[in-house]
Amino acid sequence: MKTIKLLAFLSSLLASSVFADELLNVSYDPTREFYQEFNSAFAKQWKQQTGKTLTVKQSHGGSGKQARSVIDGLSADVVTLALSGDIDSIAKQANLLPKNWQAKLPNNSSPYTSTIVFVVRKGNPKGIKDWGDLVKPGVKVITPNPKTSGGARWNYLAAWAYAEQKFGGDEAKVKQFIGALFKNVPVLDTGARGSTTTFAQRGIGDIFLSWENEAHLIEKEFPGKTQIIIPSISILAEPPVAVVEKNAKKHGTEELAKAYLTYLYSAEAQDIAGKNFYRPRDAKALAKWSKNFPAINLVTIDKNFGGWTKAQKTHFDDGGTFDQIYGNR
Amino acid sequence: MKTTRTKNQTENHNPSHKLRKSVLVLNYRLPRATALALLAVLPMIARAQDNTTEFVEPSSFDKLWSFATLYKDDLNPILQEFKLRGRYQGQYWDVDADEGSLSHWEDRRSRFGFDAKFFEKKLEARVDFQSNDGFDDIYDGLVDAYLRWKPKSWLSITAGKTKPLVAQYDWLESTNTQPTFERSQIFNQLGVNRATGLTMEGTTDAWSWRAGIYSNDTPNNTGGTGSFGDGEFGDFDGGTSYSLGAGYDFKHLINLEKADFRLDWLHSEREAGDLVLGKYDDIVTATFSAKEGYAGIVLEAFSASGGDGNNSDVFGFYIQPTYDIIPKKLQLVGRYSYANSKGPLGVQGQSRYERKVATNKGLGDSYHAIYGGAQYFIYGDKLKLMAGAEWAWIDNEKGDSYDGYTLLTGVRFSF
Repeated sequence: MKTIKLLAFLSSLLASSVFADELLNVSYDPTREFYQEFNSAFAKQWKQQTGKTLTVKQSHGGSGKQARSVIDGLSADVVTLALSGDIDSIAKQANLLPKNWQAKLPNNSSPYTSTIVFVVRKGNPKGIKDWGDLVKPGVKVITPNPKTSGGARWNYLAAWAYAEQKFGGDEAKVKQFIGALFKNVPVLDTGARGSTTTFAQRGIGDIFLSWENEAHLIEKEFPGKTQIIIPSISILAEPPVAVVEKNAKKHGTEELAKAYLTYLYSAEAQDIAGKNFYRPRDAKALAKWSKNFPAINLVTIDKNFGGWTKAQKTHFDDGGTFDQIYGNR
Repeated sequence: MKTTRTKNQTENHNPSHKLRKSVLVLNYRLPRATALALLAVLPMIARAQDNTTEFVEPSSFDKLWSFATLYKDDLNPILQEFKLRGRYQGQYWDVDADEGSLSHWEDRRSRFGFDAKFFEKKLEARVDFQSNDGFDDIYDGLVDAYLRWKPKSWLSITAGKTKPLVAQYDWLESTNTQPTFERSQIFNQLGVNRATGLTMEGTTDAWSWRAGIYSNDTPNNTGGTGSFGDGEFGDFDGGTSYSLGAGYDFKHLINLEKADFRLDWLHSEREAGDLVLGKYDDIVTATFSAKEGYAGIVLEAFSASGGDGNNSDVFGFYIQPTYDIIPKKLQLVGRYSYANSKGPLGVQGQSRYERKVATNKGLGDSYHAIYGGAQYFIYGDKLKLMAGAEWAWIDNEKGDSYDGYTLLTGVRFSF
C-alpha cells in the first residue's frame, strides 16, 4: 500500500512538471480582473492545444514602477503595461527585447484601448463637468504619480490637451492650469489601484481621474456611491503588450508567451476585454459592448504629443514640465 | 476595494476545497487503487480548473524592508523621501597557509545612516557611519557624507566625502551587490579610499564621462584625526588627487543584457601626511562587464605607477565569472586575480587574512589567487549567505611569502 501511495505521489510530481507551464505577466494596476478572466480562457485553449496545464503569475503595480522592476531583474515572460514608453525603457535599458517590439503584434502591439474619465461622488456634489472644474478652490482631485504610474501620465496629458485647447497653445497658461490642478491633489499614490483605494475606500477626494475600466469597476464594487463623468476631451490610451524575449528564452516559454499575447486578439479575448470595460480593437466585440463606451473627443499621443518618446522627455523625465510645475507649487 | 481574487480563492475557486470534494467522491465510489491512481492527476485538474492565475504580492521581506522608508511624499515641495540605511557583514574566516594559520569571527562591515531626497529629488543627501569589529567603537568615522545634485537627467554633481571615481566594479560597485567577501587583492593594495571631494558625472546616449577632485588628507576612521566634528572631512592641507574617466555601453551592439567598458585615471599630487590616495602618482583602471541570462563576467585591470620605496610600479587584473544555478537563489562565483610589480616587494597580500600569517610582511613581486564560492539569496542581495575559499600565493625573489587557503562563510544584510 505504501508503495502505491509513493508511486502515486511521485507520478503526481512528475505529471505536474511535465504537463504544466508557467508564465509571469507583469502588468499595470487596473488589469487584475481582466487578466484573471483572460488567463482562464487562454489556459483552456492552451490545454486543448498542448495538453499542458498553465499557471499565470500576475504582478501588478504602477506601470513605470513595474517597468523598473523588470529592468532590475523581475523575470517577466510578458509585459502588459500602460504605455509604450515603459516597454521602450525595458528595451533600451535592459536590452531584454528588441527596439522594434511594437511591430511584432497588430495595432502597434496594443490589443485594446482605453481612456481617462472622471469619477465623482454620487449626485456630483461639487458640480464637476469638465477639466476646468478641477482647478476650482476646494475641489480635491485624486490621481496617481506620473513618475511611477502610466495611468497618471495619461491623466496628465489629457489635462494638458484640454488646457492647450482652452488657452490656444499658450504654454505658460497651460502650465499654470496643470499647476493649479496638482495643487488640488491631496495624495499622490504610486499606481492607479492605490488611487482607487484612496478615493473609493478611504473616501478621500471629490473627483478621481480614472482609467475608464477602473471607473466602471468602482461602480460595480461600490454601487450607488459614485458616478462617471465624461469630460469634453480625453486621450486615447493604447496599453501595449510584449514578450520579454530574453527572459522567455531563458525560461523556455517563448512559444507560450507569444501564443498568450496573440490570443489577446482572438474573438474570445476581445469579448472579455469589452466585458471588463477595455475598448476592444475587434469591431464585433466593440459593437457588442458599445453601451459601455460613450463617444468621447479623444486626442492621441502621436498627433498631439509627438509620440511617447517625446512626451516622456518633455513632460515626465527629470526636469520635464511635471517637475517644473512641481517646483512652482 | 475588495479584489475578486479574495472572493475567488476563498469561496469559489479554492483548489484544496475542490480537491477535498473529489477525494471524498473517490473514497466512496471507486476501488481504492483506481482512486489512488487518479489522485496523482488531481492536483493538475484542480489547478487547471481553479487556479490559473496567481497574484504576485509583496513578500514579507518587502514589507519588512519598507519600514526603513520613514517618510515618502512626492507632493512635499522640500523633502520627498527620508530612508534609513544600514548594513552588516558578519563572517568567519580561517587561514591555513604554509606560513601559519589563524581563524576569527569578525563583524566585517557594520554601517548605519540615511538617504534623503529634496527639491523634486534633484538634491540627494547620504550619510553613512561605520562601526568596527566587535563594535568596540559604535562610531568609527564617516563612510559617506555627501550631497548630490542632479540638475539634469544626464548630469550629477557630488560634493562631500565620497568614493574617488576609479575602478568601476571592484570599488564603485557597492560590496552589498558584490559576490565575493573582499575586493580583489590588486585593488586593495592601491590605497584608494573615500575622500572629501567634488565629482561630476554625465551621460550621453551610450557614452558616459566623469571627473573629480579630492583631498588626500581625508581620515577614514576615528583613528585618523580625531573624533566626530574634529576633522571628519580632513583639513585640506594634504595633497590633491584628480580623476577622469569615460565609458561606453555597447549592450545593443552585441545584443547582451549588459555589456560596458570603462577606462578611469586617478592622478595624485602626493604630500607627506596624506591619509588616502597617497601611495601612487597614477592609477589607471579598465573595466569590462557583461551579463546575459544566468551568466555574468567582470574583467578589471589595474596599473599603478609613481610610488615610493617598496611601492614600485604594479600591474594586475582579475577575471570574475558568475553563474546562477537557481535563478535569484543560488549563484556560483569564481575569480582569478593576478598582480605583478617591478620591484621585489611591490605586491602585497590581502591585509585582512593573508598578511596576518605571511612571512616577509606578505610582500613579494607577484600574486596569484583563485577564488571559488557561492551566494544563497534569502532576500536578494539585501539578505544573503555566502561561502567561499581562496587559494593564494605570493612570490618574492627569495621564494614564497605566502602560500595558503582562506575559507570564508558569512552573512550580508543591508537595507
